[in-house]
Amino acid sequence: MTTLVSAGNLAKMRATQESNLPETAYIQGLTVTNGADGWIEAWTTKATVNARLGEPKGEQEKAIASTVTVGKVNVITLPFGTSVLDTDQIQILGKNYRVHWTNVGKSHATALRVIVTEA
Amino acid sequence: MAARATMTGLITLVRGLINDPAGASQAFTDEDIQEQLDEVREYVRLDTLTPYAEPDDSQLKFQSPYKYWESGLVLTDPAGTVLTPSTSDLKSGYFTFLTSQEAVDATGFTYDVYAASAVLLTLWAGRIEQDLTKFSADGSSYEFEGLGNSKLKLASQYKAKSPRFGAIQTARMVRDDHTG
Repeated sequence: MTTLVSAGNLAKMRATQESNLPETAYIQGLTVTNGADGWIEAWTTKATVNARLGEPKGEQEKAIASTVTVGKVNVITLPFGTSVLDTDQIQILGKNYRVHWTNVGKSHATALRVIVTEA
Repeated sequence: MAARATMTGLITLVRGLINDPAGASQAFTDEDIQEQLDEVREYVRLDTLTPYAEPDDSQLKFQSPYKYWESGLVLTDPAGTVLTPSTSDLKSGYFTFLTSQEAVDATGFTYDVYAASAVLLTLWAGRIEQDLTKFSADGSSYEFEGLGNSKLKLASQYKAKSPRFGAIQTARMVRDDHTG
């Protein structure tokens, strides 16, 4: 299979994207424990990565964002390869954001884009 | 092949001129830089240094018209005896001695560091031009078009400083149509 984008250039694009992530993001998953008082839910940090908080860009992100009817929609950019599940939340600057969609699996992705709303 | 130990100072100097500090992300190896320097070196044999006389007429300080010496140069007196200077400034060609010297000759290689730097910057710019210059992906757009141009601009400035590439030289003009 041939491709216009070389592996070297793809790596450079990913590195460039990573160099423009000014915030610290905590990727958190919901853990449930069975305690004396019953089931207890808690958000536990799974990973700490750099991030950038922004708005939807491009037709696909705007279309998906328009389907989210609850809360203000933001897009969080994370380093390519970051693992985020649809059931996770992302904490940035003390605010929690719930995950609605990610571009995981996209060909030639240079960063992980996550559509979120404030929790 | 490793770079010669006597080239360490010059290689560090060139790295500073082209802004390519040694390390994991360096653009050129020490051998790359030495190779370019060797292409623009000149062998100087028994260059008589200019003495700066002290108030008591002793001669402790000497200046060479050549700059940027490799550290393996040899200083000798008129009898051919090898002299060990008290201090050596290889970049400016300035040497001092603890005892007075009648005369001092220098033999070794001198380098046109600006010519080597200009070539290295041009090579570097060429690599950038073949590389990614701009892209838009995943919500961001970036452009790097200035990187190659800035290196070529710096290369041009260094060429102007280089004797080999066109620094102003002096020439004596002699008229043969005028007598008396």
